[in-house]
Amino acid sequence: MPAADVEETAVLKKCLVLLAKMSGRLAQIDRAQFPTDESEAARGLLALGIDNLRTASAQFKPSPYALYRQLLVIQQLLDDVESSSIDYIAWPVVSYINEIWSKLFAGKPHQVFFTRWAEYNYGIYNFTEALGRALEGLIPSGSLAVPADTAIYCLRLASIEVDNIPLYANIGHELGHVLFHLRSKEVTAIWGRYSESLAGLILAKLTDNAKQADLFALPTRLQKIRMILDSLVEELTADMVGTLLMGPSFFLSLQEVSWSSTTRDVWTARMFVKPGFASAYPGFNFRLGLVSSTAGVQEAFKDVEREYARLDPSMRMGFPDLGGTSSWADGNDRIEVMPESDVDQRVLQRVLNECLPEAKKAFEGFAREVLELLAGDVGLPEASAEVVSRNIAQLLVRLAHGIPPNIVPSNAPGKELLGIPAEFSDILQAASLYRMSLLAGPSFKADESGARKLSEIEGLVRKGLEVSYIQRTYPPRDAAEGSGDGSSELPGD
Amino acid sequence: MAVLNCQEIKHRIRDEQDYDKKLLVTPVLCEDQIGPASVDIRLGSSIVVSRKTYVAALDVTKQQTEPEVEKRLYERIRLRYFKPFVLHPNEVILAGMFEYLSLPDDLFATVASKSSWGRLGLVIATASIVQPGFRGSLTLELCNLGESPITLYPGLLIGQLVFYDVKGPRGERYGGKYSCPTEAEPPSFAGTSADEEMAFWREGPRQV
Repeated sequence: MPAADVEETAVLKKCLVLLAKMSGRLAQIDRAQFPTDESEAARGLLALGIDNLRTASAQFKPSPYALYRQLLVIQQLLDDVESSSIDYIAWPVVSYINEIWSKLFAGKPHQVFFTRWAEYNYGIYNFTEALGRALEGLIPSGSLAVPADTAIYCLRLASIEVDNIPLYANIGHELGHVLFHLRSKEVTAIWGRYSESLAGLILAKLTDNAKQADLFALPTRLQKIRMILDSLVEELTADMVGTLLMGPSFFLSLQEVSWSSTTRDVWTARMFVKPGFASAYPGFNFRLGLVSSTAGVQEAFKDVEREYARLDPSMRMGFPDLGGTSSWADGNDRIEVMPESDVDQRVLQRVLNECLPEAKKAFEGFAREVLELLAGDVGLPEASAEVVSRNIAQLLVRLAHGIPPNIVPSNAPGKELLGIPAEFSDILQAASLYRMSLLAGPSFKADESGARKLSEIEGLVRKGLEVSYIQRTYPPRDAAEGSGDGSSELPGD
Repeated sequence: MAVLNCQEIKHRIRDEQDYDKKLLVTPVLCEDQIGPASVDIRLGSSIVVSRKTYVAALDVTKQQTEPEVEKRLYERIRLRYFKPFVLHPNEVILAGMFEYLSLPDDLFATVASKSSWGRLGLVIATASIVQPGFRGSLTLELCNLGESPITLYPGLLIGQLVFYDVKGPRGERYGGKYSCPTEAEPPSFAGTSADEEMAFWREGPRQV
C-alpha cells in the first residue's frame, strides 16, 4: 500500500476512535448536574450529530484530514456541554438569566444553555450553527435531524463566577448580542444615519495624498473599516441591552471586568483571515462612560445612598465615587488594529485614530437611539426608579447585618411575614455596592479576615439569589394577595 | 424559660425593625409554615457527604491537619431543586437548611424532625441546640435509620424550629466557628480554647 494511503487509513481510524470516545464522554455526562434543562437540548443535539457522523464516516468515507480537523472543533462543543455543571455554575443565577431570556425571546425558537469558560470573560455563540458548520461536508446535507427553527445558544461564563456573583450582570451584554442579530436591520439603519458624516471623513482620510497603489487598495480598506465599525456597533448595542436589563449593576460589573485591562482608553480591532470578519471593542473608558450616563448611574447611587442613610442612620455607608467618568467622551482614546501582518494595518490604524473623535460622537448618538429602540424589546422596569432605590437600600441594610438580600420587606396584606422576593438586578446591584464600599472603606483589612468577610458576602448573595428565585416560583397559598408598591418600611421575614 | 407560641413568633418576626433584635427566618414561603409553637424548615440545596477512601481515622485533636482532612474526607455537593436524591439506610449526610436564621440575644432554639419523617427513620438533627445570636443556615445531620432508602428533594419540609425565651440580662452574641454560614458546613473543632482542651486530653498534663 502506498505511504499516503497508509497514513490516510491511520487518520481515518484515529477519527473513528475519537468519535467513539466522544460518544462515551457524552453518555457519561451526569444530567442531574446540568444547571438548567436547556443543557439537555444541547447534549441531545450533539449526540445526534456525533451519531450521524459515525454512520456517515463508515458509509461515505469523507476526507480523513477534513474529518480530523472538524472533530477537533466538535470536541470544543463537547467540552462546553461537559462544563455545563452546577459544580461550576451557580444555578439560581442562571435560572434568573433563563427567565430573562424567555421574556426577551418569547415566541422565538431560541434556547440558551450555560457553561463555564476558563477565560476571565464571557461569550455567547450559536451552538446549533457551530455544530452545523462543523458537520458541513462530512455528512449528507439534511441528515442532522435538527428542526430548522432550532437555535440553541451557548453562554460561556467566566470561571471566576463561582466566587464572584455580582459579575453576573455582564451577562446582560451577552444577551445583547443575540438581540442585535434579531434586530440588526433596524439597528444598522440607525447606525447608517449616524455614520454618514463619519463615512465621508474616513474616505477623505483614505484618499488624502493617496498614491496609485492606495487607490487600488481603497475598496478593500473601506471594507475592512466597515467590518471594524460594524463590530463596534454590535458591542455598543450589546452594552445598551446590558444597561436596559441590569441597570446600574451592569455598570458595576463592567467596571470590575475593566480592572484587568491595562489601558482603558485603548480600542481594539482584530481582523481575521476569514474574509468578512473582524472583532472590535471600544475602550473601557468610553463603554463605562456611555453606560454610566445612559443608565443614570451616579444619580441612582446617590438615591440609594440617601435611602440607606434614612433607613439605618447608625450604619452610614460611604459609597466610593462611582460612575463619574468625566473624560469618557473627549478623552485621549486611541485604537489599535491587529494583526500587524495585515497589509493595511498601518493605514487603517492611522485613519481610524484620526477619525476617532468624530466616531465617538457618532457612536454616542447611535447608542442613545438604540437604547430607545430596544427598550421596547426588553420591557420597561415594573418599579419606578424611586422604588428600586428604596428596595436596594433595604437589601444593603440586610447585607450590612449579615442577612441575605433575598426579600424586600412589605406591609402589603398577606406579605407582612413573607416579604416580596427581591429582583435579580437589585440583588446584584446591592451586592456590588456593598462589596465596593467595603473594599474601598478604611476599616477593611486586606488579609485573611478580609477574605473571610468577602466570602461571607458571596455566601449571603448566593443564598439571597437562590431563595428569592425559589420564592418567586413557589405557588401562592394565602388567600390574601397583597398588591402594594413592592416596598415599605415594615420589616417582614 | 418559655416556648414562643404562634402569635409571639409572628410578632417577633414581623414587628421588630432592628435586625439585631429581630427574629428572622427567611424566606417563609407560606404562613402555614408557622405552627402553634414552631416554624417548619425546609431542606436546602447544599449537602456534604463523606468520602471514606483516604482517611484512616479522624483524630479531631490534631488541629493542624484539620483543613487537609476536611478536603480529603468531605465532598460538598450542590443539589438542584425539583430533582431527587436518595438517602440510603445508615447513611449520614450534612445538609444545609433552606432558610436563613437570625436569633436575637434573648432567644434560643432547638431543631427537631417532623414526626412523619421520623417515623420513616429519618433523623435530621443530632446537635439540636441553636445559641442566642446565631446567624446563618443551620447544618442538619441527616441520617436514615430506617430499612428503606428515602428519596428527598431540596425544598421539602423536614424539620421544625422551636424558640425559647432566654432569661437574664442580654449576653454576648453568638461568636462561634460558623459565622453566617449559608451552606452545609463540615465539622470544625478549631478555636484557641478548644485547641488547648484537645491537647490536654491527647497529651495529658504537662510537666512543669
